[in-house]
Amino acid sequence: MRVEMHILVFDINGRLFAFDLNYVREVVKIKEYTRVPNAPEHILGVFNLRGQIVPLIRLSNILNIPDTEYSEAVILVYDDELVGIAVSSVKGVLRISKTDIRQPPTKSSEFISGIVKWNERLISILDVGKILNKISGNEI
Amino acid sequence: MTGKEYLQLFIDETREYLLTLNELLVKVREGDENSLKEVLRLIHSIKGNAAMLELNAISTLAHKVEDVLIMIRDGRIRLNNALISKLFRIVDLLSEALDALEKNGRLNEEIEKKLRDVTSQFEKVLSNSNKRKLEEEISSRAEEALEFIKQHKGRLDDLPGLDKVTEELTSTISKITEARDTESIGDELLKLGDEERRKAALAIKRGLHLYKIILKFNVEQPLMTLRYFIALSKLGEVGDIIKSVPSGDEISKSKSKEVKILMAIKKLAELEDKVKEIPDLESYNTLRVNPEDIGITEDVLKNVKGEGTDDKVMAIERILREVEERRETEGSNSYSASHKMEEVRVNVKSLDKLFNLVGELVLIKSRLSAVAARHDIPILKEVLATFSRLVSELQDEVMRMRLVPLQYLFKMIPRYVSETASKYGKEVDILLEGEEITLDRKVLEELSRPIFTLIEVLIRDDIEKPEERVKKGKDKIATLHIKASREGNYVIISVGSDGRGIDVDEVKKRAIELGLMPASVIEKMSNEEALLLVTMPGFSLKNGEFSGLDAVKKCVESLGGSLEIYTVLDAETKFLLKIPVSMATLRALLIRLNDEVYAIPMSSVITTLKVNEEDLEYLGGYRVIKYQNQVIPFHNLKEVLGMPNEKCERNYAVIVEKRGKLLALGVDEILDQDDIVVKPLGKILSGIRGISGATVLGGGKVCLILDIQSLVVN
Repeated sequence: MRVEMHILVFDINGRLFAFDLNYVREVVKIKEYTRVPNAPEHILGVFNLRGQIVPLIRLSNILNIPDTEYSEAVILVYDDELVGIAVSSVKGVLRISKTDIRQPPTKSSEFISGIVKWNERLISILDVGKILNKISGNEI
Repeated sequence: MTGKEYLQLFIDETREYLLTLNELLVKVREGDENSLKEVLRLIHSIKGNAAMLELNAISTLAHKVEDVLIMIRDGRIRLNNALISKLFRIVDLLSEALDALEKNGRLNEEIEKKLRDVTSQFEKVLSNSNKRKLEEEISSRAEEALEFIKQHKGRLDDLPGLDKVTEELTSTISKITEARDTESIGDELLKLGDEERRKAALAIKRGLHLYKIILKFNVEQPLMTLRYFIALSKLGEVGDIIKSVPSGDEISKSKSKEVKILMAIKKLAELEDKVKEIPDLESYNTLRVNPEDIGITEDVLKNVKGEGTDDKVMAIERILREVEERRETEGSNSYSASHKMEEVRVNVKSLDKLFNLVGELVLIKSRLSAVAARHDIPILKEVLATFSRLVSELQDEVMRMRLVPLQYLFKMIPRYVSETASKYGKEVDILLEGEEITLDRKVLEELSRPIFTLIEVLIRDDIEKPEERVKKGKDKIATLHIKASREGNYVIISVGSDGRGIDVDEVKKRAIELGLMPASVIEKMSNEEALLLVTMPGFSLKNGEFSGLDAVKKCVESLGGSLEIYTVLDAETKFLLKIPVSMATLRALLIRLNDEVYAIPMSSVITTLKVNEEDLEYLGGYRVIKYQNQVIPFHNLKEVLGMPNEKCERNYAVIVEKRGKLLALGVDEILDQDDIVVKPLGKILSGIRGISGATVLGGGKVCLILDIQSLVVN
C-alpha cells in the first residue's frame, strides 16, 4: 500500500525545503514586522496576523545556511500558538509517497528528517516538532 | 398571425409596459397624479390583452388592480407605502408570469397560484373600502338630510317631532364616524392569542359583554405610563381586561397618547362611571364587540373549560397554578429587591482605573512567569500557579463588569440611516440583529465611528437611487443589514447592503492608477486581497466612491480586530468586522526609537523632559542628568535595547522609576499617551528581558511594551 503525504515546498536562498502540510495553517506575504530587541538571533521579529501577535522566525542559523531576503511566511500551529517561518518564496504543495523519502546524509542538519527528489532537485523535509522545540526552548 | 405569434406579441408588449410601470410607480409614490392615470391606462391594456388570449389569471388580477387604482384616483382609497409596494410586487409577479409564458407557452400552476393570492389581496382592499364607502355614503346622506331640514326649518315648524329626528340624525352621524375610527384603529386589539381568547370566552359564558374602549389622554410620557396603569386598575374593578394595545410591556415605549382596551363587562353604565374617574383623559370611546369578530363561535363557547362539573378539578388546578405563579413572582421580587441592594453605582472612571490596574497586574504576572522559568524553585512555581489563576479570574471579572449590550449603539442607527439616506436621496430599510450581544464599553465606544462610516459609505456608494433600483428590477427600497453575533472571544459585526457591489477589476485598475502599489503586485492579487485595497489610505473609486475606509480599518485594527469585505456585483456589499469582546488595556506612553514605536506603561513613568547635550554630565564614567535637584543616571534607550543608534537624536528623556530609583531614558521622540490593548507575546517570545507584551497600533503594526523593571541597564 502506498502511504501518501502532502508537503508544502518552499525556497530559502535557492534551496528547497518542505514542511508536512498537516502542520501548516496558511501562507502570508510578509508586509512589515517589528524587530524585537534582545531577542535570540532566529527571531526576526513579530507581526500582526489579523489581530494576533505572531513571531517571525528565520531558519538560517538553525539550518546553517546564509541569511537572505524573505518575502513570505509559512504559518505553523504549535501548541495552539501561531508561528511564522520566513521563506524566500513558497513553491506549492506536492503529493509524495512515503516510500520516496530517503534518509538524509549523516552529516546534514539534525532538523532535516528526510530528502525527496522532485524534478531533478532535492527537497529537504524539515522536522517541524524539532524545529519548534528548538525555537521555543531557546532562552537568553 | 398564429396563436403563438399573438402570445409573443403580448409578451413583448407587456414587458415594455412593465418597464414603464416601474418608472411610473416611483412617480406615483411621489404623488404625481398624471403618472397614476398612465398606470391605470397600462393596467387596463394588460387586462384587455390578457383577456383576449384567455390568460384569465392575469386578466382577473389586472381587473382588480384597475378597480383599486380607480378608487385611488377618485380619492376613495388612500395611497400608502404598503399599497405602493404591493403594486411594485404586481409588476415583479407579472414579469415572472411572462417568463413562464415565454418558456412554456402557458402559465404554470405555481405562478397561477401566486397571481390568485395577489388578486385576493386586492379584493380585500376593495371590500374594505366598499364597506367604508357605504358608511360614508350613509353619513353623507344623513348630513344632506340635516342640511335640508335646517334650510327649510321655517316651513316645517308645524311638523311634530322634527327636533327629535334632527337630534337623532346628528347623533347617528357622529356614531358612524366614531365607529369607523374605532374600527380602523382597533384591528390589532382584536387579534387575540389563545389564552386571551379563552379568557374572553369564559367571560362571555359568565354572561359578560365584550367592549372595545379607546382612551385618549392629554399627557405625554412618562406620565402617560402612569395614567395607563391607573386606567387599567380602575377598569379592572368593573370587569375582566382581556387585552390592551399597547400592552403593559410596551406602554413605556409608546409615543401614542391613545390606549385601546378589550374587556368584558356587565353593564356599560358601570364602565362609563369608572372611565370618568381616570385622570387626564381627553376623550373616550366605547364600542360593543361581537364575539364572532374575535373568533369566538358557538363551538368555541361549548368547548371552553369553565365551571362545568368535571371542570372543578381544572379550576382547582388553575388556582393552584396561580398561587404557585404568585409565589414565584414574589420570590423573584424578593430576590431582585435584595439583588438591587447589593448593586452599587460605580463611576466609570474608577472602573477604568481598576481595569488598568488589572492590566498592570497581568504584565507583572508574565514577568514573574519569565523569572520562574529561569530559576527552578518549586515553591515559586507553586505560588505562581495560584497567583496566575487568581489574576486571570480577577481579569475576567473586571472585564465582565465592563460589558454593555450593542443595543446602546444599535438604537442610534435607525435615525442615522434615515438622515443619511435622505441626504443622498436613497430609500433604505434597516434590519438590525443581535442587539443583545455584549462588548466591552470602550470597544463599543470606539466602534461607533467605524460603523457609522460604513453605513454612510454603503448608503452613499453602494445603494442605488430608487429609480435605478427599479430599473434593475430590484426592490425599490434598499436594505441595510447590520448583524452581530458572537464567535468565541470575538464579536462579528456584519454591515451590508444590497446595492451595486464593488467591481474588483475596477478597484485593481484604480489602485494602479493611484499608484498605491506596483501594478505587478496588484495584478497577482486574489479577489479578496484586491478588495482590501479599498481600505488603503488615499483610495477611492471615481468621484470619490468608497473613500474613507482606511479610517475604519485603522480603528478596527487598533481594537485588535480585523476587517473583511465581501461583495457580489449588483447584489451585495458586506463588511465583516471581527472585534475582540474585551481587551486588557493599559495606559502607556508611546515613544519613538529610530523607526520603531515602543510603549512604556504609565505606571513606571514619572515625567518626560526635553534634553540638550549640555544638560548631560559625566560622573564616574556614567552619564547623569539633573532632575529636581537630584542627579540621576541617564541611559540612551536605544543602547539599552541593543539597537543601532542611527541618528543619535536623543532629544527627550523619559524619567522612570525602576526599583524605587529614578532613571532617565533617552528617546528620539515622545509621541502620545494612550490606552493600549495588551496582547500576549506567546511562549516563543516570553522570557525576553525588557519586553512584557505587545499591542497593535493604528496602522496594524506591532508595538512592543517595555517592561522597565526587567530592563537591564548598566
